[in-house]
Amino acid sequence: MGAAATSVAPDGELIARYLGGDESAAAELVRRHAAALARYMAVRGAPEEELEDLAQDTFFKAFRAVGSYRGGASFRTWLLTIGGNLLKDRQRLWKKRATVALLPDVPDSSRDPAGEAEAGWTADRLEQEVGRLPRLQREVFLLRAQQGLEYGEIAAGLGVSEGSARVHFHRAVRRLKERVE
Amino acid sequence: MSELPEELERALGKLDARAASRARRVDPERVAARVLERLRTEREPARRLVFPAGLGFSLSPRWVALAAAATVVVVAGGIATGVLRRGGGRSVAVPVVAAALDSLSRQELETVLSAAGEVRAVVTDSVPVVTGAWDELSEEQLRAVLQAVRQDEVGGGSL
Repeated sequence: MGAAATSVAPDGELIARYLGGDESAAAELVRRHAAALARYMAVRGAPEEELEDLAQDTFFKAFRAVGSYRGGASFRTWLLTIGGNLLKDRQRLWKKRATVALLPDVPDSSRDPAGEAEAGWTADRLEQEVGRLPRLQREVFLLRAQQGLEYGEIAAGLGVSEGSARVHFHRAVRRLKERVE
Repeated sequence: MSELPEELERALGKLDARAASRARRVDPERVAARVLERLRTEREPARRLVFPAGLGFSLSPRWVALAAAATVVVVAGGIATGVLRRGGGRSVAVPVVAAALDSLSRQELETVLSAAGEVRAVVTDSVPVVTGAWDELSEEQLRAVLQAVRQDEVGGGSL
């Protein structure tokens, strides 16, 4: 199989190849999903300096458990769910170690100082409020609004019904509007 | 995106751009190399334990560990029951199995449960008291646990 064919192989095929002992298939899955995973964890408040370790641990856990992956959700959704859970555990640990103060207050060169002072919606305010949403509302909101996933896909990844995913999304939006406006 | 109020959508766009900027620090090639390295080194060894002639079977260390864990669960239950029946007349160190059950697959869990039901365990001093995690036990320690259980079975002990 040539390089071109490899680059377009669906995730399911790469997973099967990895399970058959082809390590290059796992590497291809990492290349394909690492950026989206890191973006998802960054928007959920993961510190920049921890992102690579978090991504590494997420992929490691995913590949160790890939034999139990049933394909109900896409590999990416499954991966983001694992990453989200891992991040939640780490955040709990960081809180215990009292290092959490480093997370939201670290000066970030990518922030817009003018925007910080604005009333209403700002990226910082949104990040803070998204972090305060109940877990399912937060996950559904980010998977839908940030990652652009379909409700059916989100529902399969999180183990809820599609209708429930929609409800969580709309409640998240309503809550964010109430808190910021 | 069109499901969101305009202001919220704009803020999310900024937040996402910032996240993408942070995420650029992650090098997928480096992540892939490290993940593969960990998968190679942290994967369980494929070697199998071969028991002395006469026992007629061999097991991987993981299965031995699972069977031993199941045995000790039953033994610990027996000890606890015995202590309760006797009113606590004897002080016994009860081994605690702290296996990470959530790391086991469904099939492995079923095997543990099945083994726990099948093992005819005996309360005896010859069963070594084990402390610490099972997956830290050496091959010799695991053999000792199995050997002790086997001797008790041959000896015809019962609960």
